[in-house]
Parts: sequence; structure tokens; C-alpha cells
Amino acid sequence: MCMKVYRSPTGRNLLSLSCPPVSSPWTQDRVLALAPDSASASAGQGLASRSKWSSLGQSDRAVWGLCQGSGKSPYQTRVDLSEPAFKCSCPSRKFPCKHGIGLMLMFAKDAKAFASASEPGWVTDWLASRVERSEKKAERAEKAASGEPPSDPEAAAKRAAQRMARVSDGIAECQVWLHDLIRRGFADAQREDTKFWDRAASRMVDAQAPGLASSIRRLHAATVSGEGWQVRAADQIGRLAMLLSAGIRLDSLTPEFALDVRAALGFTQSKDEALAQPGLADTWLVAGQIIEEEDRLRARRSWLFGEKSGRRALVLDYAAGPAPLDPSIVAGTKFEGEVCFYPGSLGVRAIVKTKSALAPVGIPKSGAFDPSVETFLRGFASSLAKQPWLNTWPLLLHARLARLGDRWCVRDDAGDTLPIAPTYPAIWSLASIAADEPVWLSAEWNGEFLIPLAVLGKEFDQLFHRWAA
Amino acid sequence: MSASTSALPPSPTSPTARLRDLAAATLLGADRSGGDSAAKIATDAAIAGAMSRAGYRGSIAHAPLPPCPSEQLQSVSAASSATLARLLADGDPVLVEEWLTLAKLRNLRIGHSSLPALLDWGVGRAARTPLVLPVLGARGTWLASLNPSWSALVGATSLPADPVAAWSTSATSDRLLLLTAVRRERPELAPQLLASTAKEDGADERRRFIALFEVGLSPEDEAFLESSLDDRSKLVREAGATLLASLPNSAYVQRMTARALNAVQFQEAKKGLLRKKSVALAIALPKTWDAAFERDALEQKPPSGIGERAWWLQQIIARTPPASLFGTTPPDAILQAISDSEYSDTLPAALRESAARFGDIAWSIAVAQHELNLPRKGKSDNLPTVPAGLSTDHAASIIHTLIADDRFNCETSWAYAAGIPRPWPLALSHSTLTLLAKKKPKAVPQWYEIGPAIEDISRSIHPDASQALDALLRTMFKDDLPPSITKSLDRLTLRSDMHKEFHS
Repeated sequence: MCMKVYRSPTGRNLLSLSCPPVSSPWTQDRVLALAPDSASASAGQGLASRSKWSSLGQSDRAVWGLCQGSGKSPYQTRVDLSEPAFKCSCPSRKFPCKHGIGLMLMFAKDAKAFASASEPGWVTDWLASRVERSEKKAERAEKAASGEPPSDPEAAAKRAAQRMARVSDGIAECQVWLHDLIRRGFADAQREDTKFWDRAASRMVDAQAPGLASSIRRLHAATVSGEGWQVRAADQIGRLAMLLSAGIRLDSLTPEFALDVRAALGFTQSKDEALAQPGLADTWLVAGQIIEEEDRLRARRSWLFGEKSGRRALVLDYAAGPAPLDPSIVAGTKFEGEVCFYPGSLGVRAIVKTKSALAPVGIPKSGAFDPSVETFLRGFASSLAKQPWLNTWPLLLHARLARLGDRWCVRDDAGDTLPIAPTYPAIWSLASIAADEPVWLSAEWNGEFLIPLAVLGKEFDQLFHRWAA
Repeated sequence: MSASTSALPPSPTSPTARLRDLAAATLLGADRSGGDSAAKIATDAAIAGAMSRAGYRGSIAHAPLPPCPSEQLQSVSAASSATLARLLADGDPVLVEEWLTLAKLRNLRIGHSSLPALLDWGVGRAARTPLVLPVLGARGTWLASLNPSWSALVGATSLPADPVAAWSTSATSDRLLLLTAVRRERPELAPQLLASTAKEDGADERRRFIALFEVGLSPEDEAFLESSLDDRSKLVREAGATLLASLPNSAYVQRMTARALNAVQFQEAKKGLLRKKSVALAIALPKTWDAAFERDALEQKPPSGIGERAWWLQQIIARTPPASLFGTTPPDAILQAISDSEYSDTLPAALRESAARFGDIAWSIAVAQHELNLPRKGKSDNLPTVPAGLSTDHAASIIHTLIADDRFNCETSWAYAAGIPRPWPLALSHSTLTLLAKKKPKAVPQWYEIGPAIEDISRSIHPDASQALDALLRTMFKDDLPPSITKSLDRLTLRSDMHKEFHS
């Protein structure tokens, strides 16, 4: 155990009892964020004890161990630290399974338990197969990037035209529905049950315009959002109306803006096409992550902040049921690498093309964060100018908490403030970490309220894992 | 885009105000509001909404948070923090208590991010407050003061400048907190507070206030408590009498002792070949219900199964110090005589109560051993329990004696052991294991019997004995571990890790 006095940016001495090796970005929190559900997280915690494992080992790229399960022979659990990627011989369909989570939790809290050893065969074989697979993947991406034509251009064009026609019908139908809603009034619509909204949304899914379905769901959510819902609902009506009228004249828009509109309507954006764009090399901070659950679908937004470029990048991941979310984007880490932006006028949605080994995110350098609330709001306004229906925008700010009554806000050094959502579930966690001192805070801004995601610094504190708005 | 700025009406109102107007129109419906068409409203909402969001000014009214003092204690390790978070989420209070005690012993505070969960855990349970407070650190106390649902936890210790004034204007729940604080810091003030509002307070309130005199109770309180026996409410008299009964030199206890001496006569004799000490006991029950009994808050109506007058005597003896009644006569001899009498069911319980009340260790041990030795008659709710005030060592010594004499009865003794404060001393832990090894269950029904006992042992055993228990259980059940035993094994691992984390 070593004792060190760390000096926070504000000069306050922070005592820390144990200093984790600087090279390991793994903390309990970050590992738990990888668990597919709370049952796996809790089962994993139960396995995070030396007594559950044998033959624990580590190399510079992997950790592994044997875990005695209910079967005769112990499960072989291994983790490729570069991604991280998980593999276990247990029969669980969850991914990562509880053994993977347990092994990483052990590694996070007790790396000494892992002997530095040469990798056993069952680890090297798996790592080798992963390298092979990733090479094949790179080949495919290269092929796509080199612009090889699709197998049957004529059929593809026909399919595209068919889809466009259906979406156009959907837009027209949605407009009629929306105008009808405005004519009847919300006082009337509020008496409708959830089915009224579900029906309208699923009509848009049928019309292959899932983006409009989401807009309708957001409008519904606004009508039941508590105090001030009327204004929120009117604003959502505006956003939907704007998207519809842009969708109607898709052909007359600039190509870049047309791409934005298509994406907002719910046209799938091609990963390969994004990867074909020139990558932006930078040190990328994965400063905040938020998972939203709807039915059995999990959607995760990861916000990346470029240290040199000052760019913000949004990496979206989806997973259904027990399927895993991409475990390689880890909140609270940073990496050197290239990020490719999906084409469009705003250029925020992105995909990670290459990345170095992960390091703890630490304290952000000046290029990465927003200097003040005022500059942040100006940046948000210029993003809105490009995409007026924008729902969320990321913030990374050095700020402290303040409040009036039970309404909390964050306040920058200049005294400007942004209000925290009244329904924000982790306000007391945030207050316990920040107290009355300024902290590095990552958050999402929705135009009305802030949703704090994490506190950065010597430690990285993810404030919550799932968001049920 | 369709919405160009020229579509905006020439209006002096801000986009935000415009959006509010549109919200009113959409609430009522375009048809009824009779103004713009639906299409126009939608377009205007699009423009006003985007402008309002783009023009957001970050200047809401706010006040800075009160300053948070810096920490004086060091934090527990990250591993310990993670374990605490898990224990709080799993909700086994026994293990949380053990963790908190370990942290307190080492003068450590919990990590900042664990504070909300621990405050939630500690709030509203008075017994948890002394465990939670020492480990909160400066940050925890600060945080709790900001949240109305936590502030009581830390606020109970501070006394306002003028308690009498505060008392007269507070609601009952706040008064209970205030009175607790008064009893801790200036107990002599309490009677004055109660008297100032006694006329307006309801019986239940008066009862709850008087019960709080338990905090910092001393002979100084006797006069006030004695006066509470004249209260018109029986509830209030009971609360006062309970406290008076625990002041050994009070007039109340003296009255009870006189009544007991009146009823119980005994004589020591040496009998038989071995000249063993024995006692001849003669009991004369109180003849009539006395108005003074009523004032002293005795119960007139007995519970079923007990005669009325025997019940009165039982209550009297429970409020009489055993030594005042029986002098130096050995408790064993008295208990033997009682068990031969017709009061074998009722008097030992009364003596158990009085021994605990007056802190008479010799009598506590004697009664417990006596009760543990009796053949059980069905009902488990009258199993002997560890009397309050008996130290762990004393309780453990009772078990040791039983084990040494091979008189350990599975059901009663386990139940008794479970009441011993945790974690058990190492010696007791090892002797429990010896016993368990003797109990080797051979068939399924037997481990059902023993499962709950093992669960208790896994929660209570000294951490240095946990490996031995782990090994013992694995030999007992071979590879065929029933789920409840697996859980107990996991609990052992968790506890042993928890202790190691505090040492590393």
C-alpha cells in the first residue's frame, strides 16, 4: 500500500489510500458498466473473490482464470484487454457472462492475484483467432472503401426507390395525423390511452420511417413529463413538423443536409460508408455514456471528446435482449486513434476506426472541454442551426453544483448556470462526489435540462448506468 | 427548410413566450381556439422552439451550496468501498453492520460515492445511527444536512439555543428529535419541556416523550417519573414505571421488593448424604388487587394459561432485584426449588427479566442455563434468549458450559447462540464447529433442520474460524451442497474477504 497526496485542480488535497497502477484503466464501475443486466452484475460481484478462482494469470494483452461452476470441469474465462473482449467456456448466453465480469472485477480490485505468466494454450489460441478475424474484417472494410459496386446495381436502385416511396407516404400520413392532433388539442389527446400513440408510432415503423416513430414517442413522453409539459409538447410538435417539411422536399436540399434529414427519418446509415471517410486522428476521451432501454432494446450513446480537435463524436450502439453492447467503448477511458464521422452537415455521429490501448481518462486537457457555459450554449446554437431538431448535445465542463430550493444546477466560474433535470435520479451521488468544489462534469443537454453523466478526474465516477426517463 | 424567418409574425414577444402561447393553442386545439390553422401552429412551434432552445441564457436564480468541511478521517480502500456498495445492494443488514464496525474500529470513513446508499440504509432506524455516524466523515454529514430525508440522522445531535421555545412551536416528530438531543446534552431540562405542554399533549405523545427519558436516565429523573405514575393514562404510567423499575434504588423498586419479600419465603437446608444445599420455598400470592398496583402500572388481567394472582406476583418479581429477594443463596438452589413448585413455568421468566433489568450477571447465567436444560415443550417462541446487558463473553460461557457437559440441545442452544452479539469470540466459534461436526446430518430432513443454524453461524462466526467451517461443510455435504448451504459458504467467503480488505 502506498500513500500519496494528490492535488486536485482546485488545490484541495485529496487523500488516497491506494494508488492503482496508472496503466490500468479498469475500475469496479467501468467493469460493471459492461454487464448486460443487473443480474449478471450482481452474480459477477459474487465471483469477484480469490477463493472462486484458480490459475489466475495475466500477460500484457490478456487476463485469464479458471472458475469452478456447477459442472465437473472449471470454466475457462479469458479477457482480451485491448478491446476488451470476453470468452468463457460456460454455457451462458449472456455476454459478457458473469464469469467474465467476475474476472475483470477481480482484476480491477486485486491485480496482484493475477500472476504474470505465459499464456496457456486456451488463451493464445483464442487470441490468435481474434487477430485472424479482425484481419478479415479489415479486408472487407477496405473492399467497401475502395468502392466496389454492389452486386446488382439495378435491383438495388429499385429497392431504394420502393423504400423512398413508402417513406414519402409515411411522411404525408404523419403530417395529417399531426395536424389532426393540433386541431383536436392535447386536452383531448391526453384522454387517449397509450395505444393511441403506439398505433401512430408503429404506422411509421411500417412505413420504414422509424425516425418519425421515435419523434411520436418523444411527443408522447413530453405530454406526460410533469410540470411545464405543455411547452415541451409544443416544442416536440415543432421539431416533428420541421422534420416532416424537410422530408417532403428532400430532393431540393443540399446533399449534406439531405443526409441529415434521411438519418433523422430513420434511413440506416452505412457503417462501411462512414469507415470510408477520412478518419480524424486525436486523443479521444470517452467521457460519458448513457443507456436507454425500450422494451427489450438497449440503445447506448457514448460521447467522445477530441483533445486536440475539440470535436465531439457520438458513437451509437444497440442491442436486443441478452445480446451484448459493444464492450470496446468503455466510459472513463481514453485512446489515441482515428474516428470516422458519418457524412452529413453536423458531423457528430461517428464510428471508431482505430484505437490504441485504453488509458484512464484522467483530467481533460484544454482542447477537450467547454471553457464556459456561454461558449457551450453558443456551440449548441450553431449545431441547432445545422440540425434544428437536435435532441441532445454533450457537455464537458469544469463547474460546481448550486441550487435553489430543491432545484439543482451547475454553475461555471463566470457564474452562468444550467439547470439539472428535476427527474435526474443521481443528484445525491453527484453531490456526494462534487460537494461544493468545482469538478469535471460530462453531461447531456437537451435544450431545457442537463443530465449529468459522469465526473472525471483522478477517479472516474459514472453517475448512473441506465436511464428510464 | 420550409420555415424561414419571414414566416414569423411581427411580434415583440420572445420565442419562449411565443412557444407558451402556441402551447396554450395546442392544448385547447386549433378548432376551438379559433385562431391559426394547424399547419401554421406547427410551423410557428418549429420556429419558436428552435429559437428558444438556441437562445437559451444560462442565468437561473441559484444559491451556492453551504461550504463542505474537509475530511479529518482517511477513507477505506477502493476494494472495501466496492464491498460495502455490494452489501448495501444485497440488503443483509448483519453484514453491513459488521462492515461498519470494522471501519469504525480503524477510524476510517466510507468513500464519498457510497454516501447516498449508506444514508438511505441508516435513516429511520434508530439502532443503525450509532453505526452510521462515525463513518460518514465530514462530507457525509454535510450531504445529509442538505437532504430533508437524511438530516434527522445527523441533526439529532445538535441542540437549539433555546430548547424551551423550540419545543413549544415544533411538531411531534421534531419534538422527539429535540427531546433526544436534550436528554443527551442537558437531561435536567426535559421535565420542564414536558410540563410546559402536558395539558395540550395527547396520551400517546406523553407516552412517547416519557419513553425518551431512557436516554441518559439517572436517579435525578426519579421525582419526575414518580409523578408520571399519577397520570390519568395507563400508557403513560407504564412508560414511567418501566423506567423507574430500572433505577435500582428508586422508591418504585423498593415497593416492589417489599411486595416480593412479602410473598416469597425460603429457607436453606443441607439435605441428603452429600449434604447438598437445597432450598425450601413457600409462596403466598398477593390476595387482592390493590389500588397501589394500579398506580405502579401492573397488569391486572393475566395472559391465558396463568392464574390472576400468579400473574401479579410474576410482574412484581420481574421488577425486584434478585439479590434483594434471595440474598446470597445460590441461584441454582432457588431455581431448583422453583422447578419443583407449581410456579416452574412462570417464575424463571420473571427472574430472567429482573436479572437482565438490574444487570445481575450471576442470575442471568443461572436462569439461562436452567432454561436451556429444561426439556422443551413445543412452542419455539418461548425459547430462551440472551438477556440484554449480558456481555458476549458471559453468553459464550453459557454455551461453553453446556458443551462441556454435553447438554447441548440442538434447537434451543442454536437459538440461544444466535442471540449472542456478533461476531462471536474465536473460542466460541471453534466450539460451535466442534458441535456441528458431532451433528453430522445423514439424511435430507436433518440438514433442513440444521440449515437455519448454519446460516446463523455463517453470519456470526469469528472470521478466523471461517475456513474451518468452510472445510467442515464441504466434508459434511461432499459434492452435493444444498443451495442454502452454498449461500452460507458464499457469505463466509464474502465476510472473510471483507476482513482481509480492511487489513491489506
